[in-house]
Amino acid sequence: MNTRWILTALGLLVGTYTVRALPFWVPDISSVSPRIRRFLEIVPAAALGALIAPDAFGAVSAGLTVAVLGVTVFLTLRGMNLTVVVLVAIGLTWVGITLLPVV
Amino acid sequence: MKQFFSGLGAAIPIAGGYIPVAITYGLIVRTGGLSVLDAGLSSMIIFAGAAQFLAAGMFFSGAGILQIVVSGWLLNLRHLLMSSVIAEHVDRELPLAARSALAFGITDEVFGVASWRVAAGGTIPPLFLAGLEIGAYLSWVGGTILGAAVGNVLPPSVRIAMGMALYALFAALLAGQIREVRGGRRMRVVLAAATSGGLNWFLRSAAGFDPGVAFPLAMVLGALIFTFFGPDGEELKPATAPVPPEEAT
Repeated sequence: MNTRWILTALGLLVGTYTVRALPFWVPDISSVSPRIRRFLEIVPAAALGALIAPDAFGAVSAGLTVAVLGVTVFLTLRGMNLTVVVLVAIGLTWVGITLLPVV
Repeated sequence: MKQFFSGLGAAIPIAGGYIPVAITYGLIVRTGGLSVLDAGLSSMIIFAGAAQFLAAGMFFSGAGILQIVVSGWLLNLRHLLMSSVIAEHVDRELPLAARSALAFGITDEVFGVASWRVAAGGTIPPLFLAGLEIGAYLSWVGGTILGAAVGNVLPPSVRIAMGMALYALFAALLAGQIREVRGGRRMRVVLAAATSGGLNWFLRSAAGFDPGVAFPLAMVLGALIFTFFGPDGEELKPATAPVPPEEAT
């Protein structure tokens, strides 16, 4: 067992659990100032943007990455379930690298 | 007890999506040099997919514990809004210990299914929510252990394709957030995501920053800029009406 890794997990537990539990403990938590609410609303999107770029482009070609992520976004905006979308993306990527080894 | 099993049943579609993603996670942790036990324990302790992938990526690139914890926390701030929608519709008379236990399992997918119940009926029976969360939890932890233990039998092309699951998950979560908001608020969400992604790219390549430093910096800067600037729009209302059925975010 790697102690540093488990400590990291425990640290993440504290942060994640607090965020999830706060509304159960303090029902009025969401009536904070508009500016803080605005920050809370966009910080996860900012995090996701920085998670995708640049790391998504590496394992497979940039063209295939753009195509797969484009389809992912399109299907989600159309209302497709998250888990189904992820499975579609795995399938598309597999088809892409199997059929088009050069792209 | 009937409610509990109904919740477990509602977790089946979640499990269908969780298991391949969890297998990928287990595989990544194992490939990075950690044990099956490390992989399984991290899923048991954290139970937050996107943050776990983030943590594994940063951990293997040598980031410090505090950097990882703060980044994961910022990423999971989105659960604050989801949790407040759920908390509002769970019996307030329920003992604090039970409410606290139910809070542990509010993931994006659990929120998606539970919010459908809110849209249909109003309240969420605590036993239903418990069944839903336990079903999701078991599939996440089980998938992780499976991936860490035997994921290496998968052919390389399948492993590479499953590696894309992570970024598809991020992109879908982002699209889900974009979908939830309207007008000026939507524009701000899009701009913040694009700016943070661009900044992270710039900091990593042109400025030569370490990933563990570039990521939190890009994320906070992108969010701060569009907290203070950007198009105006109606403000987010606390615990807004849940998203429509099937829109798992």
